[in-house]
Amino acid sequence: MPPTDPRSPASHGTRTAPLPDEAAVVARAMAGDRTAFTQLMEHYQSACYGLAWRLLGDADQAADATQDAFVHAYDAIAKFRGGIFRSWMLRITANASYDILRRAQRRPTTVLPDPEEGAAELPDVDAPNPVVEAARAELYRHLDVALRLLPPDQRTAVVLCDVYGMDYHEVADATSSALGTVKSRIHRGRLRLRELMAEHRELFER
Amino acid sequence: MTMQHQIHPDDERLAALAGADPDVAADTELRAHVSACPQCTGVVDELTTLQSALAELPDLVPSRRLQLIPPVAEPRAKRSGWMRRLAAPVMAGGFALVMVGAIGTSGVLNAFSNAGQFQNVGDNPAVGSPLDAAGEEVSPRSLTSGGDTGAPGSLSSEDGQQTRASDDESTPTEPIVTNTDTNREIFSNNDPRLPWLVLIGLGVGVLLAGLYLRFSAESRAG
Repeated sequence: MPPTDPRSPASHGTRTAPLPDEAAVVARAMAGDRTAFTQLMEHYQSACYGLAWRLLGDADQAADATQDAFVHAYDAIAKFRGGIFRSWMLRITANASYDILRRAQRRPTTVLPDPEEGAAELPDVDAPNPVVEAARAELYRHLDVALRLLPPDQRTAVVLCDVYGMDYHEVADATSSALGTVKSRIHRGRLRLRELMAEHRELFER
Repeated sequence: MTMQHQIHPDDERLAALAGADPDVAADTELRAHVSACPQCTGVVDELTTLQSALAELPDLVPSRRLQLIPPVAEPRAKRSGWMRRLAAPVMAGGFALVMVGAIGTSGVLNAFSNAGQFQNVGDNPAVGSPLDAAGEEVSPRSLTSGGDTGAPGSLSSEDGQQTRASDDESTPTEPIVTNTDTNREIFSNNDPRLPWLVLIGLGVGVLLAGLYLRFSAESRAG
């Protein structure tokens, strides 16, 4: 479904699982196989875009950051040292998003986050339990809205750590911040999220 | 009810505990307090639940179609890169040549102007260049007197008129107004301005080449 608002993502997907033969595809991409690289980017574009959107809160900027990440990945894939490819791509996307965020902070725009604009999706009527799916979609929507209300530094740290599973050191590296600063941002961000989600506690219990 | 009289830990420490921060997780006193304090336990539980929900947030479908792979760099694009880099120094060189030529031409004209001579020096082999055979500049004054050079076609300035000595001794004083004379005389092979004019022409050519490189590179890149 095409987006109706430039600050909203098109739709929620699911968490991207690794490709079944990912190691082989990555090896081919490292050897210069453009088809293999395309396959990887196609597979992980939703994960990268989701991270970029949650960090930037703007669909166009998120698409730009994801596109930048693909270019960086193409330049650097020959130097990929192994490990989890998804984490590697997410780190590149985080850096690309953070670059855009820093530029935006130096030149603030007039676009402010609107808490009423989220990623609302109609429940999937084909899902096994439409009521549960609808409640979960509602929870995700409120979480995304609450994330957008966090100060950018806290949002970046919480998204990287709690949503995308980076450890403190990886977050500090991606944001060029001190470890103690990162921890403090994460902790304060979690507390602020808890306050923002207080009126939707019932969604956590379903 | 003893817990009500205790000081609760800072919320940030509770958040760190919920996030399994190793620095805080080793704090046994904090853990003991939380396990005995329903209020703090509630905060930690809520934060833990929140983190679990955040970890389940799904990926998002991009709002627009993304280019999954950068286009292959075409040789033409590479070429436009070096053309663009080369354009500025080439143009600068051309400009410098034009300037040097212009200054040189101006200098020659001034020299003749100061000596009261303007034109028709081309027939004097001794003044074929602003530099003499030894590489020293020829004084304009040495060009003004036919007697000094003794060469046919040397200059004279009798009666303040611009004249040319004829090869035919029988008509030695036939005046020729060289200010309005033909281009053949002005740009003859021995004209002292000729090297400078050639320099200007060369500079213009180099300048045009630089402009070509510049705009050609832009059109290729664009």
